[in-house]
Amino acid sequence: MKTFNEKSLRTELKIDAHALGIPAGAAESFIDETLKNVQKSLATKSIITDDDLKRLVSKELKKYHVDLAYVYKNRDKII
Amino acid sequence: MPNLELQPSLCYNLNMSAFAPVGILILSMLISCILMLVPGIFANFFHYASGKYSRKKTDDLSLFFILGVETMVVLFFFLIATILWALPLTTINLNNPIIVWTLAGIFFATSLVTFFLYFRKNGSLFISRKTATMLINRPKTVKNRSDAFVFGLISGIPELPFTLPIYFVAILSINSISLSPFSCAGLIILYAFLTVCPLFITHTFFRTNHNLADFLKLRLKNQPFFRFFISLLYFLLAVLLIGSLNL
Repeated sequence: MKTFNEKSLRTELKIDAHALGIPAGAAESFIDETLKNVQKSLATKSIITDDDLKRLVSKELKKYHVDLAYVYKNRDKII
Repeated sequence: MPNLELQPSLCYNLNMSAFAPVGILILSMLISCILMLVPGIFANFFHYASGKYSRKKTDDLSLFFILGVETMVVLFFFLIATILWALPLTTINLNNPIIVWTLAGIFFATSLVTFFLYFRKNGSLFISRKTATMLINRPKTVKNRSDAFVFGLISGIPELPFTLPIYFVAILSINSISLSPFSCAGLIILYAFLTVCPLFITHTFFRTNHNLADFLKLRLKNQPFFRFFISLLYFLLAVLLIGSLNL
C-alpha cells in the first residue's frame, strides 16, 4: 500500500505538460485545479486503487487538456 | 543438344540457392525493424527527457540511447558469430536440414506466439508488468549520456526471445552468402543500423510537431495490423527456411 503523494504527481504532470508543449503558466494553473478536485474526491475515501486514482486524475485533466489526460491514462500501454 | 537443355536449369538452381540466404537476411532485417518494444521505450524516454531538459540535451541523450541499442545489437551479433565461427561447430549452417527444420519450428512457434501473445488485451506489450513499470520509470533516473547509453543497452533485453533467433538466422545467412570477413562485418553493421532506424523515425516524428499522445494513438490504432504483419513475417521466414532446403 502506498500513500498518495501529491508532490510527485504534480512534478510528473508538469514534466508531461512541458513535453507536450503546454505553456508553463497554463500547465501550472490547470494542474492546480486538477489536483484540487482530486483532493476533494479523495477526501471522502480512505483508500483508493492505483487504477481508480489514474482514472480520476485523467478525468479531471481531460477538462483542460485532452492530450495530457490521454498520456497520463495510457502511458503504461506504451510497452 | 541435351547439354544445352540442362544448362538453364543448372543456372536457375544456382541463382535460387544464392537468393535464399539473401531473402532470409532481408526478412530478418525487416522483422528487427518492425518489433515494437524498443521504439516504445525510446518514445517514453524521449517524452520524459523533452519534458525535463532542453532540446539540445534531449537530442544528446537520445543519440546516446540509440548508440546503446546499436551497441547491444552488434554485441549480440558478434557473440553469436564468435560462438559459431570460433568454436568447431561447422555443422551449424543453413545447409544442415536438422538446423533448418529446428529454426523453422522456432519461427513457426514464434509466429503463433506473436499473433496471440505479443500484445495484451489492454494494448500493452507481452513483457511482465513489473519489468514494464521498471522500464517506464527508468527515464526518471537518466541524467547524463552514460545513463542514456546504459538504458539503451538494456532496453532490448526483454525482447530477446523474439530477436535472438532472428540474429542467429541472420548470422547463418551471412555465413552462407560466403563473403569476405570485411563484407560480413559491414553487413552486421548495416543490420544494426537498420535495427535502430525506427528510433530515428520516432525521433523525427516527435520533432515534427507530434507528441506522445499521437504516438500512442497511432500504435494502439495500428496494433491489429502489426500483430498480423509481425506474425506473417515470422511465418514467411519459416517457409523460406524450409524452401531453401529444396532449392
